[in-house]
Amino acid sequence: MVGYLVRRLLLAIPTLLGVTFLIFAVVRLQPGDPALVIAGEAATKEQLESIRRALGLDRPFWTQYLIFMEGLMRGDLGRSIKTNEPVAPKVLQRFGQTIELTLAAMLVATTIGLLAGVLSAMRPYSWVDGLSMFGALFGVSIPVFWQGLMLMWVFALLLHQWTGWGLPATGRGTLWHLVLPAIALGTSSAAILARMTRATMLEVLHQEYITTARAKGVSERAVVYKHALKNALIPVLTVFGLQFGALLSGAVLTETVFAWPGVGRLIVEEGILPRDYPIVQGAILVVAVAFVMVNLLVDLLYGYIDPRIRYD
Amino acid sequence: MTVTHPWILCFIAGVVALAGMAADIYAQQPGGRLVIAQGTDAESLDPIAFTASPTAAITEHITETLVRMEIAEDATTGEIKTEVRGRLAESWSFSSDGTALTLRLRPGVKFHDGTDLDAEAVKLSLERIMNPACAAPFRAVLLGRIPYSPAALTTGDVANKNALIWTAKLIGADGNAIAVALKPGPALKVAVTGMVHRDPTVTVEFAAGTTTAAEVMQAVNDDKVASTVLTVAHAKDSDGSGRVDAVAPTKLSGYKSGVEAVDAATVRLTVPTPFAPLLAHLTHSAIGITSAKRLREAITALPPCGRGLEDKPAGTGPFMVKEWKKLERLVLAKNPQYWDKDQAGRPLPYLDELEWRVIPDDAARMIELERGTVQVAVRVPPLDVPRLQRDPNIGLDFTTSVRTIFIGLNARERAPDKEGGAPNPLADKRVRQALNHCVDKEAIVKTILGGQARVSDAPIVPQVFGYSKVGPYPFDATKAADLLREAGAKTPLKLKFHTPRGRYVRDVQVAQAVQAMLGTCGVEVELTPLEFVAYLALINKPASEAEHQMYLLGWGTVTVDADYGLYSLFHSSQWPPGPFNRGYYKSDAVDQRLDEARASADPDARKKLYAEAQQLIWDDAPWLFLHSESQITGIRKAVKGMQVHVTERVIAWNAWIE
Repeated sequence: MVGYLVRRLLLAIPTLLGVTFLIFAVVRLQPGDPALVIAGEAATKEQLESIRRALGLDRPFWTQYLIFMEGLMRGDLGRSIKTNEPVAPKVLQRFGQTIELTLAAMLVATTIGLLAGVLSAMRPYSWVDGLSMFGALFGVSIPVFWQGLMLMWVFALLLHQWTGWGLPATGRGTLWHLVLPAIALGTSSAAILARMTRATMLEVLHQEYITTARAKGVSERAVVYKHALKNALIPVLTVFGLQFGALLSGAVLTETVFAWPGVGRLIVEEGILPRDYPIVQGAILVVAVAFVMVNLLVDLLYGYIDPRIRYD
Repeated sequence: MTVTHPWILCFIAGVVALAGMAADIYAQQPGGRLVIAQGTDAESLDPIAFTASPTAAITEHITETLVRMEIAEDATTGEIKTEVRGRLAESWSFSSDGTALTLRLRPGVKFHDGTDLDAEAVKLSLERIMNPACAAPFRAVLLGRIPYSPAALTTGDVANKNALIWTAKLIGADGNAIAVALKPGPALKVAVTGMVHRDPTVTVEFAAGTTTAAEVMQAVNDDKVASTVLTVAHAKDSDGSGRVDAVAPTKLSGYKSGVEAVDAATVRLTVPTPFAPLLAHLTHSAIGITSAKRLREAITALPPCGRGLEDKPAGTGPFMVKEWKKLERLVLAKNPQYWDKDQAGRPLPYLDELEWRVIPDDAARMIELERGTVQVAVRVPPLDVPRLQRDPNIGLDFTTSVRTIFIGLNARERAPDKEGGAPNPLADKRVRQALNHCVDKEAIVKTILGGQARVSDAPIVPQVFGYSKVGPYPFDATKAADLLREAGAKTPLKLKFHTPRGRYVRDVQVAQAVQAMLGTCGVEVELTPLEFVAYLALINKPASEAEHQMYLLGWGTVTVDADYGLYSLFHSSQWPPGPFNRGYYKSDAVDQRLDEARASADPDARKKLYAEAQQLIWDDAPWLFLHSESQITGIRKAVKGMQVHVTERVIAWNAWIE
């Protein structure tokens, strides 16, 4: 187990190295000039060149990359080009707020997804099944910004107009502020989890040990939740891990619609738009690390759910 | 017969009138928090570090300018009057030759840090804005007009005066060698090391050379030198002994700064040649005055431009910074010592708190406005107007903006060498006129912008001083075809067209409509939308390298004076990189009028010159003239006294909540 963990952690290193390189290259391949952003549109050519020199942007690509990696080894993500603030605390703070939203969305996704999936599997081809699978199709097809606005319109605006109370539409603050963005962000994952749960549950429910359990008089409730669901969870868990990444990337849109101050908006509004390379690099790197870690965690969870899975 | 004495009538009339006024005046209720939603957060609250109008709207409430621009529209004649009024300056006068502007500061004004407004604060603030090292995006508003002496900022920084190495502070960074001949040693040569980055530990070395002090100063004042923090290394005096006598930095130049503190309450600005729009330029939001104490602290913390003013500015404005959660909200609290009073003599502002909330999504911003969570929302999408107009709790404000939207046309003779250097069809003004005739601007305004824009009839809008109606180009496809034929243009004429995405109201849709309309006239346009920063880099190249042919852009004449709206866009000295004549337009007749108009002190003479210049520009058609945007602002009806300024700033210091 420990050996496995070490091996996996070591394997994460080349992945993350690749990620750093890709981010570093892609950010610089974009047209646009950070020097122009700093000096303003009225800058002369000489000014732009001196700013590039001062920021090291005139150096060869590989030199810049090595300087970046050297800083990274020391846990230093560099400083913002525009404000000269250190990037790391800024990114971590925003990332925490994105995680808050992502976890809430995961909660929504798993609750709705598992529930809908199990209900559908228990009565396949019934109206419950039809409704929840139609809902799943709908949920996976609907664009997050449109759904976000509809949720806001109904639960923040109309509800408020009718009853005098409505959910908060935008911003971060109370737990109530989490509700609408979490639903908007979690819907498509809920849909995927629901379909996945239904399919694996159906398969498991036809296994012989389920028939045996029923034959020996185990209650239907115990059959479904104790025997079937636990065995159906493995593929669901894989999807869960992958959905976590999808949620992190979906957060960019959700955060913009709901004015949520997360890492997605940091990347776009303070990173990509003003060409603040260190912010983009730092933020994407943190997100990538989180993604790798969550998938590692999921792999470890397999063993917990199914003791037959060994990590030798 | 009852005779009512006329005095009694007068008295009654007077009482009624006073009662009416009183009812009006006492409607204002102090207290409360007003929430204004904008699409973006403030970039920085430091006057030297912001570029966008949403930021300017916020800083206007914190840091004040010396003078402000009042714009009033006569309700009956529709005539628009623009007038400069006092703000931190109470009065001012130009010298008879027009080269000196003396401003008298308002007494009893306090900065948020408790210090008094004085001439030194003005001098430090203005010189910091002009200091090329600080790279203030709007430094060109002052620099290049008012002589700037970097030495003035750096007194006390001479290290090791008697040694070979003498640290002065004059920056050179034009990429070439800069050395300064210093007084008093006539043959003293100093090699200058420049640094540009705001972090003073980063230095950029230049090779030694022998430029004179005069040339360096000229370069600084022309804004060709990137930084004023120069370490002057290696000095040698005339007799070769290597000893340098103590040299005060002020002797570096022998130049006098154009900003002079005459006494504690008087500031004098000197310009080499008369510059008529100077006063209008001082109304620019970026020319804000900061406390001298605060500036000195900030500059000591990080020379030469200072640190800490980006989130803790110290101005004199009606509101002070209370809390700033980036990407979320910026809360300002009432400045209890604010100098201005309302007409009844009661203190301003009325509000206790003013919150600026960031809601990037237009639709989400409207939902919050409709719900009442925010009371003011800027940039209402034109297509939401009818729905919001039905809401009894919401009023819409349609103040025009000084922002003109146009499509610049690259008029240089030939394509760049790397593209083969072929003759450029847009160099022929008939082709440019044809494009103007081919596009139906009315239709674009009506369908794409929901009627919420004004078709341009001049390069600037009517609110701007010096405006003269010279257009519009009528939509006439036949005429367009004739002009193209006359010019001998081969059809289909193929042109490249770049547009920013999301920078202006429905910019890409407008560009697509233009593309389709030009198609009917035999002009095939290849349209490329770009994100704004990439777009800027594309259109900011020297004429010899420019790849752009047609480029959609907006320009806000934020000083509300024609000079700002015409000079940098049409004068032939203003070609990129840097300035904004991005179509490389050159007309001697236009140059001459713009030069004369900025030097003339007579407003009527200026108006005449600008009218002539606009007519010439219109005929030459260096742009495909489109429209000026309306700024649509949603304001809850419970909020009174909000003002929306033509420079795209919402102003809340006279606002109150009912």
